[in-house]
Amino acid sequence: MVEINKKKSRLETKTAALSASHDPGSVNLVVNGKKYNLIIGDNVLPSHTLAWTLREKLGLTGTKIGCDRAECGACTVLMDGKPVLSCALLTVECEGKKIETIENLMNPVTRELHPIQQAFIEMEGGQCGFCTPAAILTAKALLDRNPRPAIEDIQEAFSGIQCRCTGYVGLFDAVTRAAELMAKKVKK
Amino acid sequence: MSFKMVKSPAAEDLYARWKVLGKSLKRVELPQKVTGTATFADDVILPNMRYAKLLGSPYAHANIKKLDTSRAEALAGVEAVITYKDLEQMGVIQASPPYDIFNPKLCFVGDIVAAVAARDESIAEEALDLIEVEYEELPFTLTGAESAIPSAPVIHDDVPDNVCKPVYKANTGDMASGFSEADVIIEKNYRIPAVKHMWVEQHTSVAAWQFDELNVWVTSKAGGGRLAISIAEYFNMPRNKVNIQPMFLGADFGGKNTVRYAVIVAMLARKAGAPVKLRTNVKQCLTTGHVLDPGLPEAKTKLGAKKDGTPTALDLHLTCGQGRASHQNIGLRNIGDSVFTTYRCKNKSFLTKPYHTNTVDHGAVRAYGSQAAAFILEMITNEMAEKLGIDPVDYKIKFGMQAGDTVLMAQHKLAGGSAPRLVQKLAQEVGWKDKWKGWGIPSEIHGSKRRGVGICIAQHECGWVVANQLVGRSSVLTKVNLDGQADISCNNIEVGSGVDTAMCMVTAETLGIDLSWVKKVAAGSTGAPNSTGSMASSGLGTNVYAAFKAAEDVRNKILKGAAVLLKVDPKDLTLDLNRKCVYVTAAPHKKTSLFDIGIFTGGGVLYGLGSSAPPPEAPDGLKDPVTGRSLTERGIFAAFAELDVDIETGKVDIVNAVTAFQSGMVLNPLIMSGQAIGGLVHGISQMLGEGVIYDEPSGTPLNSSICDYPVWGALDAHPDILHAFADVDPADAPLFPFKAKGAAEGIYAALWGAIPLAVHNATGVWMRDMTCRPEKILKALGKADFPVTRGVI
Repeated sequence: MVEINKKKSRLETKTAALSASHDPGSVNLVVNGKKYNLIIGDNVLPSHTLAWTLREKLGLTGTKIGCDRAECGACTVLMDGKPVLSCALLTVECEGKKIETIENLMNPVTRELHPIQQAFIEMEGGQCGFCTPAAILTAKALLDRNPRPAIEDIQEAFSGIQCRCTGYVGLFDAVTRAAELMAKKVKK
Repeated sequence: MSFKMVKSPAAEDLYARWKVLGKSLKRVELPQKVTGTATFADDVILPNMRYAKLLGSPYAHANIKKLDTSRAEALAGVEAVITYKDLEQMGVIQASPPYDIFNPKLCFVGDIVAAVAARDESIAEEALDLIEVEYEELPFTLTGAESAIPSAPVIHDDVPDNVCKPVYKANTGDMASGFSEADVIIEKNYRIPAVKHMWVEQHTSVAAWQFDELNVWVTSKAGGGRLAISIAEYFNMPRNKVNIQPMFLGADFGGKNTVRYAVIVAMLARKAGAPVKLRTNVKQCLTTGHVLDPGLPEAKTKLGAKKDGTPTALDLHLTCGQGRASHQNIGLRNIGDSVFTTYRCKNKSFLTKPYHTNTVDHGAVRAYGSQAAAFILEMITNEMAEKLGIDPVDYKIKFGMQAGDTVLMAQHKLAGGSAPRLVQKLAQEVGWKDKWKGWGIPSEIHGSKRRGVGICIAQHECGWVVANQLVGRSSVLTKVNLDGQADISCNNIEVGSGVDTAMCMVTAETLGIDLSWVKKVAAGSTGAPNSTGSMASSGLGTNVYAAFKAAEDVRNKILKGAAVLLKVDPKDLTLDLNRKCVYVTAAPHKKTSLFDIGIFTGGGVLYGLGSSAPPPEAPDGLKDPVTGRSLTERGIFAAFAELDVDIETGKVDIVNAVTAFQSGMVLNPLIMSGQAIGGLVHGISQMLGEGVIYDEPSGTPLNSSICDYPVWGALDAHPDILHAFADVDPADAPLFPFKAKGAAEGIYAALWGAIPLAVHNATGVWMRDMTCRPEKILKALGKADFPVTRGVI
């Protein structure tokens, strides 16, 4: 169950075979473009949060659990393009949702980084690195809807992310730089 | 945000000679961190792994009368339950109280009663409810003053007077004559709340036994070696069978030193016969980790001065509640060091009275006592300067300490740096003369808002003392591969300070290669050279220095090997790893390849070993503190704060904050600017409201969540109001290799003095209970009367 990302797993095959109607004994998720059919009581318990399922069951440990009570923002992932706190969502609530995690941003074959990732490296956007995946996904959601954000827009978007190392300025610099890099990419 | 470096000619000269050092190079580990592939302790997922939960004491002080775990053990999915009863059977030799793992006597709310490992976290949590405990509640104390009373409850049976040793004291000069010489004497009491680190990654441990060998992944910056020694002692096993696995740390700030969780998880893994992971929640982190040493100090401070401000006697008497345990009261010692290192005064006296209390342990929090010292010393000297009508900048320039002064409990001489020079430069940078209108006069008034300015000097251990004590020895193994690229190995932990990057940079500089040609290997405690860990800003004096020595060693070995092949003296040779060869300097066509050197003289391996011992290069005649060294180094800091206080609501808004530091050469301006702004924001956040609030009737920490513990967030930290300023001169760090010393801790500390002065300048009130929270400011202004909750003081 842990390594199911690597090839078309039994679960994915099973998902494809399922009819469009939802089996109430399971949860369907699309994580980073891959379909998962998680059996309730087996792969997922009703008490499992989305953060827990992503990390401990799907092995996507780039999503972090900090406070585990919706306060620090380290568990931020994108659900249908919007940032959500995955520690505050039960997996069984996420039926049919499209989830994007930090693992989806880099091209694993070419190792080409997303411009936001490049910008975070360039501008010292991370120090200890624990909030970095959440910060990058938060930036992605912001820049996807607002390609040229003002500093106040960035501050607002990051209001749910706690970072004790950078004093936030490194994060903001990285987002501003990412906006430039993304604009250049679009021009090309 | 701006980061300005003012470089002396000597600094410019050194920067011009360096090829790698001094450049704003990207952090080496960030590609892993931005892709989510960097491994933190919680990211370890092992086959058959079980999940742990802890049961904490609901009482501040209690004996366990009855403990029955049978119902919890019978729950389906539960694989192990451990309590103090399991210690003996597992042969765990726990340190004597207060450093014990489990004890039937519980000393604070949250103290660990039992631990459960189960197939799922929810099952483990359910099992906690099934553990039946009968407690005998005992009377408790929350402050040092309470614990000092002869009739106070005894917290540790073998410490009937509750005194938490060691007790630090130091004197110089003659206090009686010092005070008799004074024209003015002021005596004030200052208080400081319990302060928490508030990182995002909570304490996490994973343990897995392979027969009698233990693998541990743990959120500890202690450095693989030091932690392995400690765990081996608990389990009475050889050190080479405890492997602390490498990982990244989700920040530390002094808070991740504990071994307690790792031992508990290893016990659970042994009982369950399976790997076990424990991730504490934020509440447990706040209640079972540790908070700032000094513990809730009452600082009785007395200063005598001549009319011109010259201090004649300074007396500081601290009564502290150090919690269940304190880590050797190092924070108190650091306050003493600051008393003797900040302002010149012939007669000084420093006395601590530390007591055990029924609160969580006290230990290191970023700057470890120096921040408390900055608050106390700046408050008392500012109050004196106000009384004598002296501009605070003039006071600091006149009486601040500098190179040549006798410092550190009056035992050592300061080798480099000057607080007067730094504060003068900072005052000029921020336009102090225009902004400071005088004592009691706000610089601007807008409606209910009063604008004030404040400035502060502070200093902190910069790695020198740690690097020169036995605990501070680090070693590094550097291997040059036959393709000319190098890897360096050492079991230090990158906590976010950039130490790995600095280690790679000195290696690249020494070997004459690009930074991208150096790889820092993530090494475990077995098989890799030991590091002391990134403690007390010592990375540059320990790990980085050892990396430099290792690079020198391998370079010399390569040259020696080439000398044999080329039949010349090694000193006539030049190493060119970029072309994978060594050539005769005077005749570059005479050369030999790295491959040949490696195969014929190095046995296929070109390696070097370096250690941070003996201490970093020092001019002749210097001796270290252990062996009688008389010169020492300190990091010197200053900060400026400009803020608005709304006298109707008590709210403080930062208008402009500048941190200034003097730590010799800046080895990587990009990383340093990040450290500086991080420290600055941490310091502001601290002064504007952080602090643990204890409930008086029960001793329970009330604000044990991120929402309730007011930390500055993204909405507060506008880049336009945050600035950093570096006064760069190699002469300020004469004893250090590369003339660079640790900086980020003191940056945070300096805000502890600047903000209270700015608040006073705006409002005329002295915030002697430290944090400038709105309700406290209103109370100080006489506009509201709130009950003072114990803990927030």
